[in-house]
Amino acid sequence: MSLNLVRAFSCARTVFAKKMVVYAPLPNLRNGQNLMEHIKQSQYAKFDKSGAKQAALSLHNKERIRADDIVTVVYKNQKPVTGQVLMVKRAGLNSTILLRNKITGLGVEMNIPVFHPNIIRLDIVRRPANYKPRNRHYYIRNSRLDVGELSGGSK
Amino acid sequence: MSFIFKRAQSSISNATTALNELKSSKQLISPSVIPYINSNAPITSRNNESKRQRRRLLERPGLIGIKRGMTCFFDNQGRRLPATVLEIIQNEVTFTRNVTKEGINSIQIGAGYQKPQNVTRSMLGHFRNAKVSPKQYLSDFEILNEDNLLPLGTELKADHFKIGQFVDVISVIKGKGMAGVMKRWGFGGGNASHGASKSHRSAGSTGQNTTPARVLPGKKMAGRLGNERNTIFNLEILDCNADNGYILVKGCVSGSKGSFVEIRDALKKYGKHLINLNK
Repeated sequence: MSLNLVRAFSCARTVFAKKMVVYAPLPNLRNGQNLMEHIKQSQYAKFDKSGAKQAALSLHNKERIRADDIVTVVYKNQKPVTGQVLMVKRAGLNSTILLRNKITGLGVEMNIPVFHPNIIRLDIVRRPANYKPRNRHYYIRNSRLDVGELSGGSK
Repeated sequence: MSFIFKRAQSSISNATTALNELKSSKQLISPSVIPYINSNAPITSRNNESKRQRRRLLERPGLIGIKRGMTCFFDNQGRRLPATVLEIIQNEVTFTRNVTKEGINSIQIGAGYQKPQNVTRSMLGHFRNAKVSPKQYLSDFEILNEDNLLPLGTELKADHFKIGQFVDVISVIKGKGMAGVMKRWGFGGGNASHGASKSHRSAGSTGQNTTPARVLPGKKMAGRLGNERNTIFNLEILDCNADNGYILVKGCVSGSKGSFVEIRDALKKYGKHLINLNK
């Protein structure tokens, strides 16, 4: 540390005593930006360059993915997955959507980490005419409201 | 340090020769006449130096971080891993001890910044001697060799650790206050029904009858929970960034957000015993 950072410090108690030398702290990193905010932004810049996934979850976007939508997830290295959204969990890079489908009459659910690097995009296949109330549709499981057998291209 | 273990060989041999001379003269001599021998005090196993020899030590100090929260981390294999964010700021060497003077090789590292108004004058002098700003948190890291002591005022950055290496993280667990046995020790508690009365979360029996007529020491009971130092061993470093001053550690770390944590190289992987090195 260079000596030009040194400044003399005195407080009321030590007025009569010899003045104490106090050294200045090291410079602030990230221009004082909050660390968690900085990490969040740098992760978005790395895993969602176009901002499409952020927009798909953003509450300010009217075209966002909502519970009740039917969504197809397109992967880089595996077949696409289709299902009805039961809920959207907004947690930064850790955001997930829960998809429900029926395969040969058996209910199947998948938690999709939206920002996973292997996920290319999320396509909304169909939106309902009227959205159900509530944002978490767990109650439709095994009821008369339950999803049918969904496929990506149909309807 | 082998000279410390060397007994006073010469003085013992002197004494034996003196005894032999006395025997050869074939005189009746009382034991009190045998000359008094000055020898060095033996090195006991409880001696501080021999304790240090047996201790597992690292070659370099660790860092002090501030827990900021958790996030997720996608690795090269496409796995999503939980990660704790530890901020590394204002880490500087404030003091060192060496084995010849203090009997221990250690480096004291300070982290954070405190206003000088809130620091005592004696501590201000301590920071002035190292030519560093007043620190919020100080911690001593014991190291193996005197040669590896760092000069005062050395700044340590997040790239002290390498990606993929393992570290131990030491911090204070969140205090839970007075807690019952079910929460504190995982006891089963009592029945919910079947005539159970006011004993749904109670500890049950604490011992036998007339023998021993007391509760044995160490019995698990209700009491204060948390607010103690905890070490989590062998956490992997997922990411470190010196420019922006942070480390991502795989998994969770004890303590609340904003609490100070000590991060060192994994003792069980990289630690060495001096007693083995001297063999």
